[in-house]
Amino acid sequence: MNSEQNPTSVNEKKEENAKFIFQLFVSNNSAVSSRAILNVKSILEKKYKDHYILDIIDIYENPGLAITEEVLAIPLLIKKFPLPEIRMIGDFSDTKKVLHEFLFDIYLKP
Amino acid sequence: MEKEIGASIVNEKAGTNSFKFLKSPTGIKGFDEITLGGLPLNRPTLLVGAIGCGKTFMSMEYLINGVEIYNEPGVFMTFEEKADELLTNVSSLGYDLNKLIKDNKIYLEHLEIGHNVIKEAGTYKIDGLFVRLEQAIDKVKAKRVVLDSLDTLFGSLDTHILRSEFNRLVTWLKDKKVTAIVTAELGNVFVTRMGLEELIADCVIELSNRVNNQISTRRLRVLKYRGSMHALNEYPFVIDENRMSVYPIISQGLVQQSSSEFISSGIQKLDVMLANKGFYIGSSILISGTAGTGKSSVLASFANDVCKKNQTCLFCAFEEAPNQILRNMLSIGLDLKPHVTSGKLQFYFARPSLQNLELHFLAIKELINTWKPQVILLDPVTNLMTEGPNSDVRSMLTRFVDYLKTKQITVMFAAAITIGSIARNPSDEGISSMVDTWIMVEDIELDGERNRSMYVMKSRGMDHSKEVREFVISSSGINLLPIARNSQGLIIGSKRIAAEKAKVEMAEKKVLQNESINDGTINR
Repeated sequence: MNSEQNPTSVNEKKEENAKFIFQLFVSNNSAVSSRAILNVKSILEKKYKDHYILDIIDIYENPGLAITEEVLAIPLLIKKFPLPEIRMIGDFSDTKKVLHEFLFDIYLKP
Repeated sequence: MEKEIGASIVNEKAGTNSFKFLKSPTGIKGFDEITLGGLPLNRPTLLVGAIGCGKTFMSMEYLINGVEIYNEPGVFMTFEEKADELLTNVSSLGYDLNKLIKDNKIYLEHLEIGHNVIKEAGTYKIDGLFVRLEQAIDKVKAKRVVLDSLDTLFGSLDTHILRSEFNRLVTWLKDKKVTAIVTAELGNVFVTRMGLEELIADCVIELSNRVNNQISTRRLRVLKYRGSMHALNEYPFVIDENRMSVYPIISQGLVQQSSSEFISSGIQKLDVMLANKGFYIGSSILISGTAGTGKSSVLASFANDVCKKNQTCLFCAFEEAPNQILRNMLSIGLDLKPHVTSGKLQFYFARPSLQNLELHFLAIKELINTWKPQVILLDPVTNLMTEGPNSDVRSMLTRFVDYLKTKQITVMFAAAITIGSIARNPSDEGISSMVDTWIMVEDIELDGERNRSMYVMKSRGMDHSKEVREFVISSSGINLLPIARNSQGLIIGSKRIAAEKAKVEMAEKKVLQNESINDGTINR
């Protein structure tokens, strides 16, 4: 799970082909978080291969960001772009539900 | 972290074999007495209550007292009110929270819950809260934490997750070695809406706000306090412009000094009836009678006498305004105005329905503590009875009288009763048992004329007169006269005046006769 890029601000990322920007707030020492990371990655990979950015942020290592984003429950997945911002908490094991509630932007499908 | 002071004290105490349950004092008047020291140290306390009971206020008071009295910084984490709103609300109650925040003594944070609709997919944890709390606690090195309120925090969460997460929060708070107050709304089935009270098992405090006869009174009760004794009753508490105070009955108790010195009643003939001395100093005196029997006049003449002897007197008027009392008493030859200007007589005037009883007594207590009067008059105490159920008034009065006795203050109440109520209820609204001296003023109706009479019903610890006397109020003051009797019945009122006149005329005649006789002898 640490293969992911370091948590950096979303605004700094300007990859040409990125259509979708996500933030995932986790705590690295919990099983639920590890599960969530795996689940989110697999869903996004399947759906938006190469067209997304996922920042994984450990709230204990980066409490400042956790406070500005008003994170309460984790794992928390936020779709930052395109708007509207959507938030979802859980381990995302229910792929169907995640896709249904969250990744509904079919018309934006690359 | 540094070694915990609390734990080391426990060890020391354990060594000397006198274990002491460690507590975190709240600094709230009365509360530390009923919990014998305050909240359980380094444990969370659940504060439950319906809306508008003062949960937020009490928690805030706990934090502020922590800083101001015990030098313990605190964290206030609100999920309900925005930080600046809370600041405004609290400053309206007289706290300078901004300064405490600037000095890094209190950390106030508002945690927005669900500002975006959050969807759920699977299990989750509330580590976000822990992170923020940890930051806040470390920032001010807090020993006291308030979470306000549980319902908003967990309002949108799944019940199963909520329970396990709440449990984790409690454990986490204990590990952090902070004393915490968690507030929650009162539920219907459980104490809290979500039945979380069993998870915070150490201390549960309930606040309530009940309305009786349109006057609401706040009350506090300790539902549970693990590992410690606590008082069980429900206690009234008030939030006034300064602070919160709880009124425990236990703070008084029957350990009063009893003075064997006397204070004059201000009516010389009444003193004669009371074993020629008057009232005991620090005793309680009840003057009861139907309307228009002169109760207030008795009180006023007592006040007048007290002030004349250079002592101080507090006149609590629940019926007449001070100016009216001054004017009316002037009509019977009692000029109280000089005493007011010299500061020996002070009035507390308020309509009973203005506020609840506790607030009245709080205001009077404040006056007592700052001004320290030697005598207190309540006129009439029965007006307070409209204020709430009699039992409440009685218990409040009992506490008040006890309080005055510990301070060695003589108190005189007037009680307005209705005709026949003595026959129905000889204990006179149940307050007569708390008084030491009970004086009745009554009307006697005879031959189409009403006349006042007075007698001493009881007077503890003295040989008092059992005689009924005529009680005369005239422009020259109050007088008590013996009631004579002849073959036609009582000689009272105009009959007495007529009889006196006749007597005087007789005497004059006699003098004249004597004089004429004397004249005769001289002439001869």
